[in-house]
Amino acid sequence: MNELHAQFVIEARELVRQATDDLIALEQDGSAPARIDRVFRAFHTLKGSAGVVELPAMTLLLHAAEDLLTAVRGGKVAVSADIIDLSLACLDQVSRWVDDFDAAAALPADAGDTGRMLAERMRAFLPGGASATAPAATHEAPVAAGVADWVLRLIEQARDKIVGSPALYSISYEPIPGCFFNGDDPVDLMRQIPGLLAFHIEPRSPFPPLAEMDPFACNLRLQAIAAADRADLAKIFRMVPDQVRIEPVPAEALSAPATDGKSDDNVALVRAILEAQAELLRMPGRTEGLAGCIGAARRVALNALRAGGFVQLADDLERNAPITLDSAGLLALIEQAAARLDAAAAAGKDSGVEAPDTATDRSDKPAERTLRISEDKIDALVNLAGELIVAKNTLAHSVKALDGQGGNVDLLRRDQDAIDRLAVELHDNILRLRMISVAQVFRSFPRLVRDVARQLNKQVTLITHGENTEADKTIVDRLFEPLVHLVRNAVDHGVETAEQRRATGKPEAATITIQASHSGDRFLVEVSDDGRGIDPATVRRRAAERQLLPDDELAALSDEQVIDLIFAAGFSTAETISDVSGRGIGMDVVRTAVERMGGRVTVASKVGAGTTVRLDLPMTIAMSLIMVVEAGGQAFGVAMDAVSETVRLPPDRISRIKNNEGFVLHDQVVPIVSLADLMKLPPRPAEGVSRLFIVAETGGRIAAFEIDAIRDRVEVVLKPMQGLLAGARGYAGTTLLGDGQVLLVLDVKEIMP
Amino acid sequence: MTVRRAADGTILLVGPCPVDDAEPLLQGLLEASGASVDWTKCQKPHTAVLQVLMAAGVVPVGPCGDVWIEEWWRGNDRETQGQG
Repeated sequence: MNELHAQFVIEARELVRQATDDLIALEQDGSAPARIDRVFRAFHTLKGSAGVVELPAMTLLLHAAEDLLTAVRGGKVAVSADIIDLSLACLDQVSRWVDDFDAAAALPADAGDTGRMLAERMRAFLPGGASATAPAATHEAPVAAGVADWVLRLIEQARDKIVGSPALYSISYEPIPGCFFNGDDPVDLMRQIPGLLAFHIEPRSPFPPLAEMDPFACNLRLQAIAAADRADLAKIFRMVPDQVRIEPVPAEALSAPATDGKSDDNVALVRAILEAQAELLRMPGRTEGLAGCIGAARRVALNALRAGGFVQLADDLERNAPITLDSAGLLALIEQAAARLDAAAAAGKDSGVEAPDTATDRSDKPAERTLRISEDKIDALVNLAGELIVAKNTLAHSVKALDGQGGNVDLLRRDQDAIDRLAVELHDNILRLRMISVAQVFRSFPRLVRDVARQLNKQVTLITHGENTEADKTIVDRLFEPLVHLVRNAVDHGVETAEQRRATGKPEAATITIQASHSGDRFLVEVSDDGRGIDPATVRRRAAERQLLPDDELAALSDEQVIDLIFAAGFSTAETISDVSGRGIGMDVVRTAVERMGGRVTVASKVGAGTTVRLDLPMTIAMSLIMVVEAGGQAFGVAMDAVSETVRLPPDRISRIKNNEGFVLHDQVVPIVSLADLMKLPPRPAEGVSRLFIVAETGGRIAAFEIDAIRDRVEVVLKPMQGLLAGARGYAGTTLLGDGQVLLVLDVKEIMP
Repeated sequence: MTVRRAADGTILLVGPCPVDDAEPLLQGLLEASGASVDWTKCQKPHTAVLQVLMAAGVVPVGPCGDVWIEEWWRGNDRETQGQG
């Protein structure tokens, strides 16, 4: 795939996203002219790009979409949800084609038909464009409408043989594998074609190694262009009508643009892309998502200039526009680049700007460039940095040991401090390589909310905040699934219908907010709605029906704790099971997914006012902070985020109820569990002295684990249990301590009584 | 039998090459990988024979004895190589 194609793929994806966003915004804003302009421009630019890489099927489809949007813009057709649906379907199709093009450098064979059908549906919305007349309209389309790429290629080959404008036919013949046994000789049939202008033969699927080849199974596709009479062609292939397609070549395909006309188109296209970016930056009063917007505009402008061959302009823009530039600064630079482009186009090659495709001296490239690095390489670095941290901890241990033997370790300790700092910083920086913003995850939600809301006949506005919040790629990737459940749930169960909302004095359109932020080293994502809220009484009733808890335990729960039960397995409060948010598995899945990432999920809700679900996630999952404790003479690790506090209590604070011990902490009874007992280790005999506990809270339960001592607090790379121990319950994993000891890290949730 | 082996190992396609020739041609190419194929005396090669040549990635020594094949197949080779 050449560079122009690669750029097209990148830009087309971006344009599809932009057009999708704009379409959804258009539906929400009503038909504000500026909005329609933006949608129109996105489609227009996409069409232009498809033309540059010569994908006639895509051009045909986008041309129809553009015509429809022109009618919308001109007020001839009113925006309706059906038009938005169809435009989105058009973008979906383009998106699939871009994937195909990326994978195979060509559109699938049926692209022409698919594009034509979708285009006809779009044209049906046009005034006087009833579906009955649509096919006729398609034939008049100015582009080489629906002509397969291979046809255009063969015509190009045969161009000097075509005199005047004869009636041409394309012949595509795919003999069945067993055709040789029927006595067929496909090439011999092609030989009989009168007026043959171009011929091509290719394998239908890649040939196997020669040793495995069946020489009598036909795996060929034969294609030809002929200036012939259709009847004659039909006669030649009369025995194989099911294997051959004979189609007239539209006259437009003959006048497909010659390559020398391309650079003008190129300038216009690049110019249009730059103008679209400038337009984006000129939008006043925009604050939300602005930084991302500037970044995207800069990237698109650079890509467009490079793809168009204006390397010098692109390099200048990149050098002068650091990523941190504000929107006004970038706007000025983009306008400047556009002006230089115009000047170049007007003055030909005399101006200061080089013409496209001219070789440039690229020796003084600007220093700042981005690199695409495979995830594997980054992970290898992460692992190495993790090992370095372990080695650093070992060094600390050695220094301590030396110190204990009375050696003078001042110098050594100074070096150790320096290595500590460097190792930690190196590790942090490497982890930051894996940090990506949540924008790409958030991006899919406007569409999701729209589709689900439309399906349920509800009105919902989605607001997202903090798109630029970053977290480790693994976390961001895994965030998608629980978020989908939460957002679907919010639309399905949280939000009322417009009538219900009107009756309670709320605006008809509900609002769902997705917000990402950082709090210390935690990464928080909240999904809130202003819907009906969760009624604790309903949850209580449902929980009792499903026997999620014994009745007395259920009765003892506070309203907040009851609401938390929506995360229990097999719980659903929906009056009717809908096909939108499943069968009461959704919230359960959310909790499992979030906890697997080392996070927690909590819910707050007020009847009539709405619900907020909060995901509290680590920013990376590579390192965890562990408390090393001792019990029964053995060391164990406990994840710091499971420990809410550590307390040392005198014996009189501890009360005994039957066989159980407990104490009151912050007005709450906390049961005591001896970690030594739990681990079947000998208990500490001492009586009458103060006792030490770590208080852990998880899944709405609380317990105090009695320990002998707290040894240390370390940052470690947690390795999951492997081999024979893989199935052992109660452990989160293992890690290597500085002194070489293997530390078992407990999974507090599993050992909780 | 129109698939023959020349003294220097070259596989010769001589005269009309019907469908049955696909198998000996394939065998010949398997036995001596990299052997060149000469089709200057070949007439009306069957599709199956042509398919073996394609699968083996062989560009035969020509010109092909069959004028039609010479005209259209050469273009096909050129194009295939150009794409690769």
